[in-house]
Amino acid sequence: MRPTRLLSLAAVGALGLTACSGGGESVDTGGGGGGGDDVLVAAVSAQPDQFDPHVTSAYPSFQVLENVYDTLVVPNPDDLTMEPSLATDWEISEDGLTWTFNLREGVTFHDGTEFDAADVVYSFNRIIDEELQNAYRFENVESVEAVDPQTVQITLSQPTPNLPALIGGFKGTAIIPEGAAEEYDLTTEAVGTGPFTLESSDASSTELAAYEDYWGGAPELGGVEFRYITEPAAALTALENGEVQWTDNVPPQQIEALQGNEDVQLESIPSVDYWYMSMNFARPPFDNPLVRQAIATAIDREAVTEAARFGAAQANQTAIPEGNFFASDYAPFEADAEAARQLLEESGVELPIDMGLMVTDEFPETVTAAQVIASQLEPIGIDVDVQTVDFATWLDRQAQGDFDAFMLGWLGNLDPFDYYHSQHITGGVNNYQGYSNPEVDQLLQAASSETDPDTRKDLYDQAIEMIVDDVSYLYLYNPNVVQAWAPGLSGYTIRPDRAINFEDVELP
Amino acid sequence: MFGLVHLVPGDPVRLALGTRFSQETYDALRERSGLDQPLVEQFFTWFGRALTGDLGVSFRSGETVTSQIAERLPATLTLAFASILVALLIAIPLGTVSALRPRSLVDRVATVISQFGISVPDFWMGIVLILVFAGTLGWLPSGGYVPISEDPGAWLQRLLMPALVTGVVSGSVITRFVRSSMLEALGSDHVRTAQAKGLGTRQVFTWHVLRNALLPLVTVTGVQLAYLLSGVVVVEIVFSWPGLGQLALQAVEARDYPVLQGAILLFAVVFLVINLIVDLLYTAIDPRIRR
Repeated sequence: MRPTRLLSLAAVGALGLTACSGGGESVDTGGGGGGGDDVLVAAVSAQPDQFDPHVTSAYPSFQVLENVYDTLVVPNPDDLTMEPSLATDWEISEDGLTWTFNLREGVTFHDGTEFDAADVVYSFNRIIDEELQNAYRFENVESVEAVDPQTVQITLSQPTPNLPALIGGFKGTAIIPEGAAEEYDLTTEAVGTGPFTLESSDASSTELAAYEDYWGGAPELGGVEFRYITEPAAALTALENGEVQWTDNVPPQQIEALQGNEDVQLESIPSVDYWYMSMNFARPPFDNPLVRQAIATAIDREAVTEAARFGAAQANQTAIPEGNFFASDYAPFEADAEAARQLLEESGVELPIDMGLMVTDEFPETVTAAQVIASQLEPIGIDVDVQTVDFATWLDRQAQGDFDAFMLGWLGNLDPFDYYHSQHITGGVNNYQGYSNPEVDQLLQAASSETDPDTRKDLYDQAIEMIVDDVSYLYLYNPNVVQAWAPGLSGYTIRPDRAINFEDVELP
Repeated sequence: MFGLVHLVPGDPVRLALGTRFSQETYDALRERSGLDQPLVEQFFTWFGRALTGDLGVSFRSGETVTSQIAERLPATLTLAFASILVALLIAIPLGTVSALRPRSLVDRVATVISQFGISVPDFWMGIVLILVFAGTLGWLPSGGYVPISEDPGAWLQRLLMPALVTGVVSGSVITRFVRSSMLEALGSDHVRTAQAKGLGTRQVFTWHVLRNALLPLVTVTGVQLAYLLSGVVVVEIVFSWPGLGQLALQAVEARDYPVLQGAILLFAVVFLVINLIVDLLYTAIDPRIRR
């Protein structure tokens, strides 16, 4: 990523110094003292902000929490369909309004208490009553009740076919023991039912230990140490020289160089994330559908994808990646500057058009993509001003509608509802662009409560064609998940939802 | 300072919640973190508590600001003092040699080295060191921090590279001050008088040149130390060094006002204390100031 050249004189001096003090010893890989035998050291790029699963929204926290807590149901590692976890099975009433979950027996929390229905009721009600981060996932939930210690009943206000994804898609809806929020400081302590217990966390690393009484069988590893290494060159060096055995801090431009490296096992698979651009429907000339279509026609998605992700992504004109049951093959735009120019002419809008494209350095790939987009729009008479701001400012301006256009991504999507609903329905909480199409509203509304998968897919297929034609979002690509680990590490599955699970991992 | 921190655009509540949340969740968190109160009221609440040593609780982590700072203070102190040591080990010999033989080959080499140290980006130097010493040679770990109480060997191994990078940068700055203040002292009347009296070169140098040149050296070292103590963000990130710079950066990014205010307060105190120490050292070095 960065060039290597000569060393300063002083560095050569230090070389002599270390040669004396180091005395030929090998570098210890245990690091912070906690690393004993059978401890996997994972290099992650940032420190978790805190460990309360119901409060945090930070990915670094969930990398850890994924291994500590459980949910009622959980996405299968391969195709992300929901499968049993703390619930062994579930039934849905005829009207689709009552879901009955049968709970697993013989599960204990890390503090030794037995898991039962009261814990589920407590956990879900905590999220709902205190309006915590994931309260929106329980929007349709009228009540959560314990029928008996092994049975929980969730009553809904309308059929919600994606309920499993809502309550089990990630560890933000984890089950904590009844009363845990009062008994423990959940920001620093964790009491889950997962394969590992949270032992300690400081400004350098977070340490987990195997939970011997884990219901799925004690993990092979003795523990996991998450070490925060922000600089990718340092993370990869640490992986190569054996200080760490796993990392997700792999910039896409490194993939090619790493593929031939014998010290590193690299995998890159399609994710469930998508990156897009959106224009402000309240600001002329972007309120004009022909202008938006002209822009969608002028942009060469393949070129944008290549520049932003070095090929570690698939260009897509809709949100859902290829291979998913709900994916649509609708792709009406073909990169064509001439056709784009004609559309602009038809629109009658005066040229050149000035467009501010807001991106954030929090996600550097948006900055690169925006530069490519700017160069592609310039020939058709659109002058793009790429505005790179920090994420805090970006979010503020998005919320205030203070933009011509912006770029961002939606990550960790499981259900088509996650991909499309709140982003495109009139007045939706994430419909910052101000899109409104009554037909789309109807389709999205119907799809959100349709229980038959085929009918549901058909409804979403119709909706997405209109969304794409109206250019509510200008979809760009689905990026890959890229991770690397030590050769010989076994039992690890790289997942499209970026969940990091070390339960079955064995060290080389 | 309080006003300035809050004036920066960006909403900590929105940042904490990410992209998927409901309006009710937003309102509830805003209320819990006290951000729905008028700014003036927030200031007096904060100020009142700060007087008693309570700097509040981080929005981001839910931990107290004092504990977050305390957790990172040892790493910052370690790196700052180690860097100053490296800097002085570079600056004093290099500056002295070039002052004694101005415009000689030695002087020119010293100038090139100090120019190099000032102009080379520290992240670049850091990454080169990692690639060479941790990657190619495999002599040192690529980064991290281990407290000296836990394992002195591992502590030193991890300290070497970051201390070298910050030390070279600071040392280059200090070298130039040493050189110019030495040159000035060498050219002054009282040195000529001392030489005329027939004093030996060594005596002239130790008692008449060095002592006079020490004053600016102490000042610039104090400034460099204060700078290092307020955290060296880039080097901390490159070497995964859990110092105050990273904490302050995270606080800025998350608009975590309590942590940011706590950090700025601490940096202000550090500057005051170091200035005081520098002033006291002045009087020790130069008897004229005592009067």
